[in-house]
Amino acid sequence: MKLKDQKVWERITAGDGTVLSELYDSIGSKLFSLSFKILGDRWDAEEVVQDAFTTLWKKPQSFDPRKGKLTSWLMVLVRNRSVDRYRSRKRRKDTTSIEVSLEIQPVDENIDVATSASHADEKRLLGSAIQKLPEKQLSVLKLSYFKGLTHPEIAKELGVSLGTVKSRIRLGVEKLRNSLPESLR
Amino acid sequence: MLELEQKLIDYSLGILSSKESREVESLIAKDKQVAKLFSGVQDSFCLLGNSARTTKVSDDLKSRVMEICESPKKKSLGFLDKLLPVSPYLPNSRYAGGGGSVDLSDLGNGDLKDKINRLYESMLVLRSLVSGTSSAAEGDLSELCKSAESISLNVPAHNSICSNGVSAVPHEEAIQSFLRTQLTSLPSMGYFLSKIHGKGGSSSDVRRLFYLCRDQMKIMRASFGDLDGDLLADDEKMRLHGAGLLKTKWWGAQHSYYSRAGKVKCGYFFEGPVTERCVEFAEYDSNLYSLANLLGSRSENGEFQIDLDNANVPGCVLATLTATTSSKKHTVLKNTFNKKHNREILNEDNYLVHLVKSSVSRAFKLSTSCEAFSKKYIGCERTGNQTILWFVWPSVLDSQGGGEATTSSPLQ
Repeated sequence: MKLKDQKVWERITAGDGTVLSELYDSIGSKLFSLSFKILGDRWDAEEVVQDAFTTLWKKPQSFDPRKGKLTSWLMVLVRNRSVDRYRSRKRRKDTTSIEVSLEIQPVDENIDVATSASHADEKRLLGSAIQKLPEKQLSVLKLSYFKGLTHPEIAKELGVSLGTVKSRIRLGVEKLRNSLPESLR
Repeated sequence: MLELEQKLIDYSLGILSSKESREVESLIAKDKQVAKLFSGVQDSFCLLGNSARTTKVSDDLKSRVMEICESPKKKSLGFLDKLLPVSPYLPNSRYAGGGGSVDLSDLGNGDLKDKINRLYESMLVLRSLVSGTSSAAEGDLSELCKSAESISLNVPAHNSICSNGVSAVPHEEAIQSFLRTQLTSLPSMGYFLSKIHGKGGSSSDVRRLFYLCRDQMKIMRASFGDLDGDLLADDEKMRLHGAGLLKTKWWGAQHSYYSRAGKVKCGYFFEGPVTERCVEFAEYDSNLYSLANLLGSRSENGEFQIDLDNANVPGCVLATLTATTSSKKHTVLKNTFNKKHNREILNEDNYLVHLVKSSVSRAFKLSTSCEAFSKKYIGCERTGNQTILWFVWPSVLDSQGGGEATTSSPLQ
């Protein structure tokens, strides 16, 4: 785990509230954007983000530093909880389906300039990496990651075998990681 | 190796069974290479997550997150511990809400039925204007502002309930149902609608309106069974509601009962379920709003604190609301709780206490609503310069950690 992540986690475990502020400033917007992308609902997305930070603060031991980066863990936690909520709402037929796009959008103009410059670079690189993914891998990743469909559900939707779904996800994830510079991995 | 990587991907996506998840966790814990591979998988998903379009976050989300650090620990109730029921009567079959529901026709022939229908229709309009997908949620309050005035016409003025014919309604339960829809979450909603109409509103006010509107609609459906049958059917399904849901809603909120708005602080909230169905949650909410209205309007600075604990009263959840008050205001409030027959005295404060007494006596199958007070299932006491209001509610049995219908992610 990167040294910075480890120190952040140690300070949280020690009850240092100032570090939570720093962590929120560095990743809060990304977490919210991801949750909003999945849920399409601002209040729901805010609740998910709030809950994620509450989990980290109240149960820091739920994160294991031996298993990876704190920021990656938070992103996956928010994604999983957002998908949980999305599926729960679908079961209650409380919402219309959300059309999910993986296109990389221009950076929001309201974000401050300094942040937007580094975000814009990151987004461009990510966008380029995603666009290089074969369409078949991209569509499976989209259905799995952003819509939370299980492998059998994806297989049924696309009319392919379960094994094909799994391998496309795996290959997509690998390609994505390998096509990015070290700094963004 | 491919199979292992696939398993790690599936684990990260949260689609493995509990048994498979535990196996993966064990592998990760034992083998550093596996841990490294898992870390890589998580990083890849993190990158994917980062590709989401950057969306502006509300300014107050950070302050709500930061308040987490200030979460107070469980506080000692001091003298209150000695007053609370030691062995409350817990009926064999737990009360899960729905009691006290009536039909609109039970309101008689006056215009009260029309009032309820108009109010619910305006809530349907408001809901779309303040939902998380609305333009108001994004910061554009223009549409909401246009509609705010007409919606607020359905909010009763202070102390107007007594003169609108409610006392002529023949059925006690119908009166209570009507009062619940007028006196609990609605007054606070009126405050925020006025604020927005006067162009003084913000996105945090929109968020607050969203929760108030949602609560108001649930309370109305739980009060009048034929108001919206389809949604009521969904409200009656078994679905646990955790204390966390209440905390999310009340945390950092502002509340008003025909007075200046004050900040609500969330003290200690236990982790676990509070109610089993939306109709029960609506009734629980109604009780909280009633006490919040009574206390908030008497608080020296408009502020009050809510705490929820399941360890003070055996088999029950205790909700306490605390605020700094003057001794004069406390005395008036205490006298209201002391009244034996709140129902008969046409006064909104009396009605609010009566609603909570009736609800709690229903939950514990008490013979009369007065017993709820005499046996201390609901109360009003003072310590120092603070007034404490409370009510007790039967705990959900065989709880599994609360929360509303979510599956536990392997990363928790």
